[in-house]
Amino acid sequence: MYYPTQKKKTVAAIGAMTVAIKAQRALASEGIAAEVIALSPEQTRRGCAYGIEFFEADERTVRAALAAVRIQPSQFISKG
Amino acid sequence: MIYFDNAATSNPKPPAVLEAIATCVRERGGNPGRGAHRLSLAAAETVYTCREAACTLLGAAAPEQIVFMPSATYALNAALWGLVHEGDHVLYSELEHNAVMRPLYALRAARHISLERFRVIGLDDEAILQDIAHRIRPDTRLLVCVHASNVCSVYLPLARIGALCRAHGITFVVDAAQSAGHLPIDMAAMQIDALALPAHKGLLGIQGCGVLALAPHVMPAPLVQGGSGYDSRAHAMPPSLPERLEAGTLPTPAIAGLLSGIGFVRSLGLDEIQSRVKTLFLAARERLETLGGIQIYQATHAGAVLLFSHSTRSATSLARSLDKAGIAVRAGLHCAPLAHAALGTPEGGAVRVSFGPFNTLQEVDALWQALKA
Repeated sequence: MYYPTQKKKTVAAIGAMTVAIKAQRALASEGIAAEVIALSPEQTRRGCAYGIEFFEADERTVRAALAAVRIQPSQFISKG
Repeated sequence: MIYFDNAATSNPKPPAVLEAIATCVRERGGNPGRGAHRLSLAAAETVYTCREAACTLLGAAAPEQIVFMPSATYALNAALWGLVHEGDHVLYSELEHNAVMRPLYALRAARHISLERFRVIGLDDEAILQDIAHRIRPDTRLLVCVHASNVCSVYLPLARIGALCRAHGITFVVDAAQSAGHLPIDMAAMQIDALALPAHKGLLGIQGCGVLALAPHVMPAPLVQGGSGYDSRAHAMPPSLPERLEAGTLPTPAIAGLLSGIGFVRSLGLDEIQSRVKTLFLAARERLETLGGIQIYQATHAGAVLLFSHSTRSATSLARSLDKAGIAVRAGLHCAPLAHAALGTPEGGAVRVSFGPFNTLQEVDALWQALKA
């Protein structure tokens, strides 16, 4: 069965590559697949940055998992 | 060649380290933290995995507290220049290497700090602690010391020094150049604020990479500014570790080698490594003591470094003779003139024999035979 919402992706804007990988590994330990991506400079106020991309349906779990390792994304960007 | 200069740099490297470096260059050749194509991400994952391994090895708080630097000397400079302020009183041990002393002398000129040396040689741990406590003043802001000397097998009681520093609000900086890969290090338990080490000595990696490990509450001012891969519009380095202190491209192949070296050390075990070098030290000491004219310094301490001089032959002459016999040792002052002065070595210094996990008793016998000839 096809669930359109599962195709939607969200990006958590992180900043540094190191923290982005830490976030990715924290999510992996929760069974959530996430991809480290580069954000375009116009998406962030301060220039280049990294984020992690995941299925929108996982956002609540992602927020909790990142908070548990004290990672606070500057924003969550829905990619529709 | 018989290699007894492991305190300068370890040799040989485990085959797995060399393979890890080659694989990194061959298959993970992107620039970590620069872009997000698969080769860059692969390199970044290698770097992060090494941060995790170093974090575990050192008892650091989190992988991001592991900062990669070009060398331990660079890491010590980053710590000292980043943490010492105008007018501070700084304590240091009499065993310090020039990687500590020269930045301190420069800071004394640039920031008008006052320096005070504490004693180690000839003292037990309790007496060392008393000597430090006696020198602490209201304006003492930082204490820096080696974990293990690069000149003789003397170890400082880090946990007790750390507790003393913490009780007085003193930042505790440790030079672990000789101890990393040989002795247990636990930054949290030892209350170490900043710890510097090279990849290429006891951790069996290659030259070109060092580590500055920082406690979570410690944030030195950056020593160097440059690209960080993010936050590009900001005029200053980014606010968070490790990128705040990692301007420019990281030496990913050397980091891959360090990662493999840490794995090798952990699989062999620090107890086994200590046991091997202690056995070699005791055997070398026993044999050298049968030779006339030899003086061994700090002979009661058995570790990776054995220092000796000869009553009639200079250290340089002995080292040259040993080199001709196919044995690599290091003569002179070993970039630690204060330590030599404290030990009372001759004007020309002494001969250092430094062991690694791959040395053998047969090699110690060969050293003995060469010195007898």
